[in-house]
Amino acid sequence: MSQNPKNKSLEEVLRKKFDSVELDGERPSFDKVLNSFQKLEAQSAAGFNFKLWLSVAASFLLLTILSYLFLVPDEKQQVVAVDTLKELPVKPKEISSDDIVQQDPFTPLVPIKENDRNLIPDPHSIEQITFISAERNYRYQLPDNSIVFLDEGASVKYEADFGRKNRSLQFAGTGYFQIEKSNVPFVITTDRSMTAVKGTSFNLRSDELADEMIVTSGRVLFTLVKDTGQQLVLEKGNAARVINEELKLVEDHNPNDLSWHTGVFKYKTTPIEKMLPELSAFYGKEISMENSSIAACTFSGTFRNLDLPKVMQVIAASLNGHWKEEEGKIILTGTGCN
Amino acid sequence: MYTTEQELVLACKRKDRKGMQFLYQKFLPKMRAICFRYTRSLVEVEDLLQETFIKVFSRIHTFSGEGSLEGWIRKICVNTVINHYHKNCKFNNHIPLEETDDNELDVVEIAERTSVEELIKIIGQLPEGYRMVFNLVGIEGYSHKEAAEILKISESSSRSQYSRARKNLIQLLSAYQYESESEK
Repeated sequence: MSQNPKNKSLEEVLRKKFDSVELDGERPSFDKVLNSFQKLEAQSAAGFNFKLWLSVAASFLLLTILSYLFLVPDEKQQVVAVDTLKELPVKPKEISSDDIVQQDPFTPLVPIKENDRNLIPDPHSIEQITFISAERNYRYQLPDNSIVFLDEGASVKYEADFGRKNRSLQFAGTGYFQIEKSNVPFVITTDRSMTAVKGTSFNLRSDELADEMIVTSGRVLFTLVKDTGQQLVLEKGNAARVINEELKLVEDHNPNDLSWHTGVFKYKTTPIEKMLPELSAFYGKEISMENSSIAACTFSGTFRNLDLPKVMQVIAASLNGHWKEEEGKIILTGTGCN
Repeated sequence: MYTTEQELVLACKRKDRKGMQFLYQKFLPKMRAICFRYTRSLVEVEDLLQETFIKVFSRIHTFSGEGSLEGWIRKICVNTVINHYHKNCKFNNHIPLEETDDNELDVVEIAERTSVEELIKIIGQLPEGYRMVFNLVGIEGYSHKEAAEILKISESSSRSQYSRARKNLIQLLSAYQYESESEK
């Protein structure tokens, strides 16, 4: 292939073009790079394995904090935990009593305070894997076989040793998680919240404003990262939100919060004006009303993975109206409610 | 400020902040362009650039002065990108496009006319494995043997991936011309 002289020329053109390309951009700032470099220097100068120390400290922190989860009264799990303890007695010499926080299984977790977070390793000191989804509903399989469906722009970040023993990751954006069952808690942290589970499925959205959790199966421990360390145990169908550093149960969450993942939209006497922004966001097209008299009309029904023309057809029919597409925008017409 | 590359290197070896900053600003845009040829994600590029320069500063004492400083930094940058690729590569989906016999000469002409930014975007559309091989062999000028070693694949699969990468690229370039013409 590469012997053909004709073929060579494409590479030649590209090489010439790329040879002195410079791309401008702001980040990363020099100070950030210098800072990381100096930290690295200081660590090697200090001559002790800072990385290892940090990982050990972090594991202890997570283990003690999450011991609660192991010991939640769940018969099967408890038996396993006891058996493991018998087989592998803790060697008293290796772990000093200061490292173990004695904890009654029924008292809630110790809240994470700002100071404690310092024990979590500096993200630049450990090899990390970051994945950012460029498409909606991207199916991403984690090394422990858990699956997360990532919305466009959502990201997961975890350490290189993520696996059966370490199941913690950092998250931003919207994702639907299906966690592989295991005794090792799966821990998701965002800037605002910490979620700990064993084997469940749930939707987590973390954006500029708030974190929102909707549990679709199993049980989830949802914790506020800031100050109070307030936490909620959520079960199937429960939803909670962290906003303005407060954690609150959400009584009537919108069932279409999961539509980005399922493609299913459910409506029950929902005003048209509330439906259109949701559908518009999902199908990526602007949808407007020609006549505002239909805005307050309501619609009931379910769309299961329909394409936009079908959806519009059904809505228009319910309004005795029509729909049209002009210059890429959808316009809904109608005279009033049925 | 630094009349010769040697002075700049010496300043960096002394860990002189100004020298380091000068080197950083001088080579950052070029390294950014390289990173963008290998990965599509802006955040990844930022991380890769940061890692590249941390490595440059911590290994500057090993730079002997033989060969250009830029070439040396470029190599560190490409290595950083490839290391990152290895860490993530189990999640790649290699979905080759249908193979076709597009006329190559036309494509060369299209490539000539297309801006570098667009070309980077087009290369970014190649499946990740193909993109790595094509960048290393086609642009960086590594041999198949070297590329195979770096990517931890066999030499023959480097060759076959390369030829498939070219075919895909030719398709993408033809499609690009079609799109830009239909826009007019």
